[in-house]
Amino acid sequence: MKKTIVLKNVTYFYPSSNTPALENISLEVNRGEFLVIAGPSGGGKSTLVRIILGLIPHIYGGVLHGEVLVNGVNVVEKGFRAIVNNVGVVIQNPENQVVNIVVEEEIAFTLENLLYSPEDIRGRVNEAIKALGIEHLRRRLTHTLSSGEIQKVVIASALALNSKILILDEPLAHLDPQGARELVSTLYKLCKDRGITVIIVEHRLSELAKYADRIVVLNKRILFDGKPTLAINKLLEIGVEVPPISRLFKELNKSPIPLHVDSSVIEILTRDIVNSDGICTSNSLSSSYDDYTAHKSDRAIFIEDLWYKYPDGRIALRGVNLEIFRGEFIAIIGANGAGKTTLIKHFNGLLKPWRGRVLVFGKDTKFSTVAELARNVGIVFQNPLHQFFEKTVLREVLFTLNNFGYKNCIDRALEVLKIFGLEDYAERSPYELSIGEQRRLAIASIVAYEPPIIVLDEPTAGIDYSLKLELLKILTKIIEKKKTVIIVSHDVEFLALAPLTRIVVMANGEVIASGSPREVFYNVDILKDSHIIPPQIVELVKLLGLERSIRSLNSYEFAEYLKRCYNVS
Amino acid sequence: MSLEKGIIKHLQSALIYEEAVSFYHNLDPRIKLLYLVITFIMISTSSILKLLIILVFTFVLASLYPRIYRKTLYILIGLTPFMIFTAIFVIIFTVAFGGGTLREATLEQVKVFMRVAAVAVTMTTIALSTTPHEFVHALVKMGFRYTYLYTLIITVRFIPLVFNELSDIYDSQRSRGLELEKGGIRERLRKLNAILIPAFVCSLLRARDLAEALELRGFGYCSKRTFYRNLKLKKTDIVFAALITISASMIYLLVP
Repeated sequence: MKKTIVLKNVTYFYPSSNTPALENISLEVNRGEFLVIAGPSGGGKSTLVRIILGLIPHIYGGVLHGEVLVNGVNVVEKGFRAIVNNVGVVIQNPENQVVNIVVEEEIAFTLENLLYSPEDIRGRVNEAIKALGIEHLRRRLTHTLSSGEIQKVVIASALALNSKILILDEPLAHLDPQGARELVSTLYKLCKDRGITVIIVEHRLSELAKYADRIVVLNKRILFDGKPTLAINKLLEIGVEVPPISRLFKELNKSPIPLHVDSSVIEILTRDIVNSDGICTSNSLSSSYDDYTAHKSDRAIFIEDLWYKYPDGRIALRGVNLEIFRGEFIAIIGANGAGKTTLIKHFNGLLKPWRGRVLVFGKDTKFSTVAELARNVGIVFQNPLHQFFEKTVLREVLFTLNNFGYKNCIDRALEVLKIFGLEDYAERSPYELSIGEQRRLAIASIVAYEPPIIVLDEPTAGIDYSLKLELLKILTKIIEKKKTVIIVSHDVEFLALAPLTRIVVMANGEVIASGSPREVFYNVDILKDSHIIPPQIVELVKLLGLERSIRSLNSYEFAEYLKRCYNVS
Repeated sequence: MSLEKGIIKHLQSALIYEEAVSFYHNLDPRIKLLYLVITFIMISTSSILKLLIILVFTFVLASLYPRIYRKTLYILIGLTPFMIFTAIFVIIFTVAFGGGTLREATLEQVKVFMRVAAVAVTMTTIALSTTPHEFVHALVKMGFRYTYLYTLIITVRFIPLVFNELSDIYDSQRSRGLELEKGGIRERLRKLNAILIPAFVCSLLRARDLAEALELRGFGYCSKRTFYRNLKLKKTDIVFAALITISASMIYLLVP
């Protein structure tokens, strides 16, 4: 099979660094292959993409040893200009790579730069638009597109150029489950129908694993390179997210480990269940967390008929009614654009109701300043870089404490940094921290002043599995202190692991459901209306017909149930 | 803050291309540039009657795409506080120190307002119906180098993103208890760092991504480039060009 990308013994050092970002990488990618590169954050995945694209060392500098061939062109010697026609790339924040105002102009942009004739460009643009099914976007303004739509436009731009290699750097990070599923199936179709080599760098593998021809596990070095089914052990070992079904089989010590729920998985588990005595019938896994009515003593937030209209006239919230109680751990879920972030911005008065009212501990937010409300409601937004401006990590925490009137509180700040495992970085710049550490610092700077309500907006976007587990531990500690925690997220697999008391489901600016995680995730109608895909284990339990006996949310719960009730192992 | 935000949003929305089908959307961008140049030449007159006719003329032409009226209004409302302040200042200064009468000074300010209104309606007409890409195409046809002109497209493209980012940063810092409106001037300036530094860092990251994207997409590889649209003057273009040129000449020559 023809090799389209070849890396031979590649080692790379960033400028002024003595430790290699990548070490002795040898990799061959076949034409028409669907390759997934997985690995922990900071493992060199994005660096590898830059090397393949020729940006390293030609733009980034540093020292690169070894050879990189893309379609036979030595990129290290000839630079990225030599492969412009061959490779299309979707970067982590694709909105930053879109240059033009109108979609059609954007798709034509590279072709125009490379002096294709107007007739040829129009033909290619039309064909690319057709292939991606984005005719409706042709005249749309690029800044009005959703994340998923922007990705499709960038891919169309590469297709128009007839690029035979498509590289995507963490494309699923900002997509809701429906959007992620749609994008992955589009890429798979392009790969199989058009013979395009697709390389995806990602650590969310639940959606991807079943499509991959091959998985490369990277953590500075290549730890594994082979069939996805064989990669699971290595992925589990280094703490990368694997499909819950794979984790379930691992927990049950069964092999071969599957990557997705299919008929053979159902057959294996059904056989085990039928052959056993079946000693459990009731849902013995229901935890105290499920009973959110237990928390109904002390109301923290009360929202009554809340409407919000943006200055451009768009209605973002439509008659939201919601009560949140002290000590609850709540997730607000919904597709992108459902109104989740708009809702939480009402909790500390960043937005004021257009109609209706929001009360925080009985205080109407309409008549209070953000600074007053923020004493009770600490919000951690999605991008930690929107917060950092101080010289050191310690000062970042002190800044928040000082704003809320705490003086001479270095000891307190250090104590919080210790809780979050950041005490060794106290005198370092926040910009020197890794993504996971930055995320922890953002949360630490809010937790430091101990607001009774803590809200986190998409806290798991772009972080790997081990960091998610770390985040979960931190949140559990906060809950234990009787704080109210509200998470806005569409990462259902993370939510399936969290000890939530309640899930609030939003769609089109309305709250369409509110209930325990088991009630919500097992309700097909609610999920359909909100464009949310249930956790994989929920799908499995339903396919096995065990829903009446057990309503597991994650692989650990379900494995424990199968072992205990059916002696499956 | 919300008032300033509102004004900026309105000004921004008035000057951003809108997807629609209209006479102006089909007009050749070169003719639109001609229209803008003619308007600028015409408003340099000091005759109030000429200015009035120019104003009426530009507003009548805007009727070919009625949304222009609303958007022009946004611009004028946005500029009004600034214009009123300037007018009062100039009138007081002229009467007190310049030796002019109140009537003359006021009349001059009325003329300024008429000029601004005429330019606003023309600018809105063009901005709403022409993508920056079409502008670049027109200017390249006139001999300008595209690599410099693309700065215009990139600016227009990234203005909404930068505004949104600034708004997100401001929200993020307010949620941490930042109160820009409290404290002395020095303290307020220091607090402003909490907004400016993250904005600067995020802009740098964005600029890096953009620069890489431009390189990877062949931008600037050749001194020339092609355009996927064909720019050919149509009958309507010629008729419109003739109409504005003849009308402008008549106003200039016949109106006292």
